[in-house]
Amino acid sequence: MATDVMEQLLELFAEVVGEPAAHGPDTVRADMDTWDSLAQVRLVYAVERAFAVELPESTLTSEPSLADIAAAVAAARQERVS
Amino acid sequence: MATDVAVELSPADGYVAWTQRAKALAREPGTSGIGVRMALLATYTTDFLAELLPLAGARAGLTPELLEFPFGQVEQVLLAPQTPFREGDYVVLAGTHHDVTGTVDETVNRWVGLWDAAARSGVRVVQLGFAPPAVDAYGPAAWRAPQSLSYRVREINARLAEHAAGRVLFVDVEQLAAQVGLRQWEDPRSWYRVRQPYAADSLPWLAAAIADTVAADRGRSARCVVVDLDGTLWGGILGDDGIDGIRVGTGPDGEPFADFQRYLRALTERGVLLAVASKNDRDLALRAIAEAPGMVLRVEDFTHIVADWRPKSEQLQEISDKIRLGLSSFVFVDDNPAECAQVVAAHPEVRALCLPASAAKFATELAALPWLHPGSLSSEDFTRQRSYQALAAAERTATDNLDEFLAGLEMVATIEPINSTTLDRAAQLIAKTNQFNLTTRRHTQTQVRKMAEDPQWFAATLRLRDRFADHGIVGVLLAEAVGDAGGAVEIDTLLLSCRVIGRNAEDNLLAAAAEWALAQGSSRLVGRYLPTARNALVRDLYPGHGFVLEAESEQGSVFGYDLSGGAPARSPHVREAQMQHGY
Repeated sequence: MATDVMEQLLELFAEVVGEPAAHGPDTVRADMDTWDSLAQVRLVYAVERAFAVELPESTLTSEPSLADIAAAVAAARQERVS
Repeated sequence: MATDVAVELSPADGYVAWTQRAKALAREPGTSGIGVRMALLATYTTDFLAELLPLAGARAGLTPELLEFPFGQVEQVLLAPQTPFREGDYVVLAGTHHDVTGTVDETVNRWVGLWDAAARSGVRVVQLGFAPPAVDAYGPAAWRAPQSLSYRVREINARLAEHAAGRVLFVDVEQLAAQVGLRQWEDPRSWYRVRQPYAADSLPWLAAAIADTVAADRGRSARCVVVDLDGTLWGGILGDDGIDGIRVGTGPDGEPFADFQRYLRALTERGVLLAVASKNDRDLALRAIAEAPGMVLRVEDFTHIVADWRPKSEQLQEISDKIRLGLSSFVFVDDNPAECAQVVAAHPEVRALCLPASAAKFATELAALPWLHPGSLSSEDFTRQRSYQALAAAERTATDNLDEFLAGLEMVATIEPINSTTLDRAAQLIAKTNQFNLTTRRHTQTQVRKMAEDPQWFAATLRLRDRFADHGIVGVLLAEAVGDAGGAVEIDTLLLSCRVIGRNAEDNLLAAAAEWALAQGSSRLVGRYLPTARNALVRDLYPGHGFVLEAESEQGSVFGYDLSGGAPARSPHVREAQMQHGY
């Protein structure tokens, strides 16, 4: 389940940012110039749309890794189910 | 390509579909549209909107080049003495209700003041209206509470729209937001995150509205809608079901057709022409249009009706020849995909809509396309339908003797300098006229205004009426005095609307320009013919008026007229209402 999310997230990331995540799930914004603040917003749009969830604002204001975002998606899904 | 995108992609398809398509477009840039340079100046982040504009442009027949600026720099960019925005053709100005902190006057003055700054730089403004807030403390009572934000926003929109008339282009964002629904239109999370007030799915609506408005300003709007009969204007097949058997007007399968006809009739009221291309027996088709109970459109609503058994591509060609409009200004509407494909294969320039299965959706589908955007309506748009019908009537009364025919029209022309009330129409003609256009130079409205104000330029319109109709403003002549006193006057633009081709009204325009040149002390009038795919009609215009060929190259031909013997003659059949051109 979580690996599914990660796979799809990496795909979305490559599509939105225009290149694959430099360090896979461990990639953070500081690792890539192309992952700028606008790309971040685009990524969140895409993630929220693809997984039908709403991510907490902290996902945007902090500097999460892709693994953190995947975890946030999983948590948001959990919330929706319960 | 452009036509496909228009049919396949609607703003309602949403942000994800649009961004994917925009990326695909960026990878394979097609540059078939009209090139326009646009700046985007807003009080909010426009990166997301800007990303969709090339696609919205392609959909409307434009190839936009964007000049980008940081957000929130509206005044700084517009008022700075040296900014690259001046190189643009258009500047899109946009705010949000978050800016509306003071009075209505303050906000209106802010934006109208910026229009003046843009006009001084020669850039045409596209002002976006404001969307009302989704949340208003006055709730449903906001409409009667002038202090509420919703009330002030509506007031600002109304005032901006009023000021915009004849001056700048205005996009009614309030109406777009209403179509989508205010709660879906805004996205407060996006506002706090990146200062972008709109929901992602609203952005395609905004981008499309901007592109469609500019495309209409550039003369991209279609001028004639050609419809099929069976399955398009009524349900059933006339040849099989008979006049009593076709369905239109009543019942759940007849009412939608009548409503579609009402939509089409409303289009004709603002100047769009209607024609029929149908595979049917002509007499039966005419009788059905005239007699079928429940029909809204009548025979007189159509500029031309073709009903026979030829391929539809040939039927369209006949309509084009009859009403003297190029096929690229046609929209073809048919419920049969095979007919649409046949027409587009034969005439790729025709924009074709293949109707969906349900007649209830016909009007929505056609209205969602960028093709019938009215742009800035001029009073001529409202008279055009009558004028084309007069053209057909005039042709019916034509005798073998052309002179007798022209004399019988009792034509009266008015030639006058371009002024603020005629500038819109003159610019519209310069943007749209293809056939009777000696140079096909597409000057913007701002450029035309500058010429009209410059004493070195003769910039005049021709208005023509005859005993059948007032055709309104149908001709433009722009000419510039070049060289010192006693030098030449060169005709930059000479065009006539296809409505009045063959009337010899151009004789009067040439004579007026020549008289002006003489008054300037010029000895020579120079004309130029720049061939295009569409203007072979006027290739011999200058030699036919006594001009002598002086030079010829790949770029066209230059002709000179010696003014020492006076101006060329006016048409004996066109009386000039008054010599009020003032030149």
